[in-house]
Amino acid sequence: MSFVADVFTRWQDPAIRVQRNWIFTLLWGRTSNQRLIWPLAYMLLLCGMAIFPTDFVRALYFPLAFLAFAPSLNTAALIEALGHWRVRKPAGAVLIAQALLLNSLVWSLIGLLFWYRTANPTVLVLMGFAWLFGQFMAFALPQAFAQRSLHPAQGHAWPVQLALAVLFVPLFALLLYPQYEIWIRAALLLCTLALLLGLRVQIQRFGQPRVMSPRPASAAAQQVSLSAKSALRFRIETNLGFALDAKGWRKLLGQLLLTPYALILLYQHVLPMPAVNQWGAGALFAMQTGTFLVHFSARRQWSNAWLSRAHSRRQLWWQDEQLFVGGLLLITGLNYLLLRLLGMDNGTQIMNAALLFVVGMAFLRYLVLSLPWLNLFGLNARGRTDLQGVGLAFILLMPIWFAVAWVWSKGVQDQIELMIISLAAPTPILAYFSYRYALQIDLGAIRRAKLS
Amino acid sequence: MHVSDSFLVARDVELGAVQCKGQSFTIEPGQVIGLVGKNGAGKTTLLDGLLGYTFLASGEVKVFGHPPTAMPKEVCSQIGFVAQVDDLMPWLTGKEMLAAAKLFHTHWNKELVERLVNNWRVPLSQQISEMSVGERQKLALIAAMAHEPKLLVLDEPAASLDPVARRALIEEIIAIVADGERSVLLSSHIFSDIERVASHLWLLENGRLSFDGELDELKESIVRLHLTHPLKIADSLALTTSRVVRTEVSAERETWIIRGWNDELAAECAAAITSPYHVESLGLEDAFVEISQ
Repeated sequence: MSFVADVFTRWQDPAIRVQRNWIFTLLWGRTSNQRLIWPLAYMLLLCGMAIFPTDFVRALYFPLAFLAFAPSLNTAALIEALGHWRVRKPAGAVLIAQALLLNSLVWSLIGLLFWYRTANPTVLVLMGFAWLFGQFMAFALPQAFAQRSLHPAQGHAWPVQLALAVLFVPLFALLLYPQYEIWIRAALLLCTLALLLGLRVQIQRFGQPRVMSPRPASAAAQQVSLSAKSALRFRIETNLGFALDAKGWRKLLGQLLLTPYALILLYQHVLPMPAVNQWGAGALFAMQTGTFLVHFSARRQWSNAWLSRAHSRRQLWWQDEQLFVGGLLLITGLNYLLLRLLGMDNGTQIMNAALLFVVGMAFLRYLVLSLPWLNLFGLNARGRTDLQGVGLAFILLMPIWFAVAWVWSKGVQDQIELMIISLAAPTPILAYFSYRYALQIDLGAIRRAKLS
Repeated sequence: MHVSDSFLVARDVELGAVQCKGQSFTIEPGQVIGLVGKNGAGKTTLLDGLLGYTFLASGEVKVFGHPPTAMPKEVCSQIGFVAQVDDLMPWLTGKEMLAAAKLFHTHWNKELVERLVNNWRVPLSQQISEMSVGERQKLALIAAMAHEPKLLVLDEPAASLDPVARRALIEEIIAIVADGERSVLLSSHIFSDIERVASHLWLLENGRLSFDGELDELKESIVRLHLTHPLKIADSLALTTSRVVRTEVSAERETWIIRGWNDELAAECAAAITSPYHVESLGLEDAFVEISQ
């Protein structure tokens, strides 16, 4: 208790106050730009949560509020960088605790305001747990976060991945079992108290000089696999544009599955909004659209495939399309099963959304790749970069997007089926034209485009 | 050499800045051809057209008897190409890149790869995105050479290499063509390397191959004729003066840069010029600079 007493009794200690306030500002960001942007973002977030309608607060500000997780990972790395300020001394632990307390009060305002506006105390508890958990991990494994990027996905130490998994357990528990919300909230409160004690121990332990002398996380990154990859895996990685290692899988699964499902389940169970009660299969597939299209853009690698992995443009095109169609069907099938399993929508809607996703993605891809004046995937149908094409693509495709969303939201089965057919019908023709353009594609232009 | 034995045959090639209508050129086994030209002359464009990266606007190219835009797999395995700037996949490590290259070639010289990796000190365990430009270029060269192609095409391969690695590359090229069965087409601005290794030269000027022949032939055909004032000319120098591309005049001497020097011109000068004069042979770089001005 003497440490806790020290934290409060020495609050006005001039020797500590200046350093504490300075560390508090650094907790917002290590650079002056970050220290400008984060407080501004925070103020905007608070104002928005105070002013806008409750439904809007639920929809928009709830995910933004979880940004509290990101700055909390900055703490240990910051303090490690300040090591020459002798913050490892016992007085330093008090200093850090005061700065963290101040930081937690600032960020807890978001949770309190959210509770006030939405009458949902569980979110407040969840955010408090997330913030404390982030602090605990930052001090327990400082070396995992001591690198240029403080995003947890950059960490290579397995405890970081475990920490992320642990953090998502209560979140999904609330989403999947809302009937047990009170019990989950109670468990979170207990965990939060335990975390407080654990954090106190970690801060004191962090104050010991020998703690921050492990090998940096970047050393773990050099333990790369030296085994040759299979040709199929190599082609898939070429298609995706990144390696299918642990980090790549996290990126893929996070973008394609974790984020969309988490958001939809949040809006369905934790923050039910009558205005968006049709959110389900349609919204989920819609959220995957951009990610899916971006990750199947292997044309940028056609230039280095020539003479080695491929000897004709037809072969390049066919390999690409095999992966695209295979990936499309795999993702659609997986989502179909998950949606049915989680009961996120009725069977008819799920089937409609799956069919719409398949034909829509194919239509979009072949439309852009059959019209050389459009550019959506970095390269147009002729293998060249074209910024004007990007603008034209958005202008052309936005009305199509809105039309599809409007028909879907009306929920009329006949109209949805007609929409699916109207997208599916021209797709083979567009595919043929994209094939013809691919046969004439300039691989030298692709190489130069990559270098520009 | 029968055309059918040629590795590459090109006729009337027109593509972008390259306008070689009416010209034909070949790559024969055992040749090291240096491709030189000013910036923007079309060297990379020409290489892209010869290897099928880009479709020709007109003309015909045959690589091992096949059009370059549709070569069978076994023909592609006979070609190695390294672009001016490497076109590697940044998320792979060096070893993964070589392993991936090996996947798609039936023949792979493991000893060669190990020797080059050790001699050039390529950090195979490092991710390509974290390698320096020179290291990436070395890796690209090893990947192109490892399957011992019959035709190796290099576009400015030494631009990013340190002098030690550059010298090692030249030695490797010499070793490649030593058996007389393989050829190298080397585009480079480093004329000392071209002079050291090339047997033939393609000089690309204003979109056309203004010279296609042996390297020594080009060097011997471009000279500086230093004339001392007062100039005394007893007879007509019509033939010589018709080959003058540039002159430099100073108080004491006059220098004529002559392109197309041969025995006939030498005889004409010996007969007509009675004041002291001196014929200076030029190195490849000096010759190129003179004719490019």
